[in-house]
Amino acid sequence: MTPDDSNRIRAKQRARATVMALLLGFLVVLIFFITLSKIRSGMH
Amino acid sequence: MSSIPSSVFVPADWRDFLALTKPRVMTLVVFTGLCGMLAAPVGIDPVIGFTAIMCIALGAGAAGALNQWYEADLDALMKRTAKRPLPAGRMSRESALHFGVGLACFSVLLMGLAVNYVAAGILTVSILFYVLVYTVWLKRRTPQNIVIGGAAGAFPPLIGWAAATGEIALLPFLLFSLVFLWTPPHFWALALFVKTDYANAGVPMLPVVAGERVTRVQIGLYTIPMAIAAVAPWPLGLTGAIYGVIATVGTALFALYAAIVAFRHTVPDDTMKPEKRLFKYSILYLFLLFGALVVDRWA
Repeated sequence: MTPDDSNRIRAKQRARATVMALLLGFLVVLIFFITLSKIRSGMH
Repeated sequence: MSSIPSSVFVPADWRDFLALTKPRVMTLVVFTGLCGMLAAPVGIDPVIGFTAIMCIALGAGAAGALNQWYEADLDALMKRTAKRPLPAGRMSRESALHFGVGLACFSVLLMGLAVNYVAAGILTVSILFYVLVYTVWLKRRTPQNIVIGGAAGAFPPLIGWAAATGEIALLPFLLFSLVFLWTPPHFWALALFVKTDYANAGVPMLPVVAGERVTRVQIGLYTIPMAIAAVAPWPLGLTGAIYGVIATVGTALFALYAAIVAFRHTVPDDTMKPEKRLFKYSILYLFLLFGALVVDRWA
């Protein structure tokens, strides 16, 4: 395996990790708002 | 060419995981699910509504991923699908399976916890129906594969409605019937002009097994109950005149295009224009009817 190949694998791993981090962050925000909605609907 | 030895694990690109979910198919699924939700007589909290639509999309994506996991060998034989991540060798089958199962479980759990259990139940049935009944059981065994398998794609309006109301009523059932009965003419029109592809892969699509004549007749026959399901909500008082008029005119045009295909005979070097026109219009038709349903409800 050449250094170029190694770099390519690293770049793929980095891109996947970034996408995963963004998705998890989005999920945290979504669950926060779902919780607010549930609390609000429980109050009515 | 890559010099990476085959023993070295090369992770799949995130775009390949996205491709595994069949994003183009998802568009129609999300649209019909959203329309089913917006056509419901009760409002839904925007955050919960967004979550429900997201779960429908994720569920459809999971079903698409599991379909591609199971059909990797078949996809490799067809020009249209040979460049997908699995047949092209850009992803391991194990990764696709884990991704599909994980996404399916996540979408159902989130739907159940955040929206309601009726919607989660129907979402589960739709995923299992597409993967087990259509992909594993029917697709390689019978030319009726897409007739029964079409039910899987008909679930989204039902899920959308259930997400808003927590129950099932006559109107979403008619919407389910409409998509269910629309699927055979839609796919058989496609199968008529990509017949060679399916034949090479050994998929028993109707034109391959029973011939073009039978397929054309079946397209015409399935259009009749589809037209009834499409127009029925108006005389039954479930929708207003906006939907009624658009559904009647749109369905009449669909029936005309289907009749042309049904009564036509292929000639040598045929460009299959009427079949391509029916296929393209069938997609527009479904968007049109579901769009009209929402406009009718909110106008």
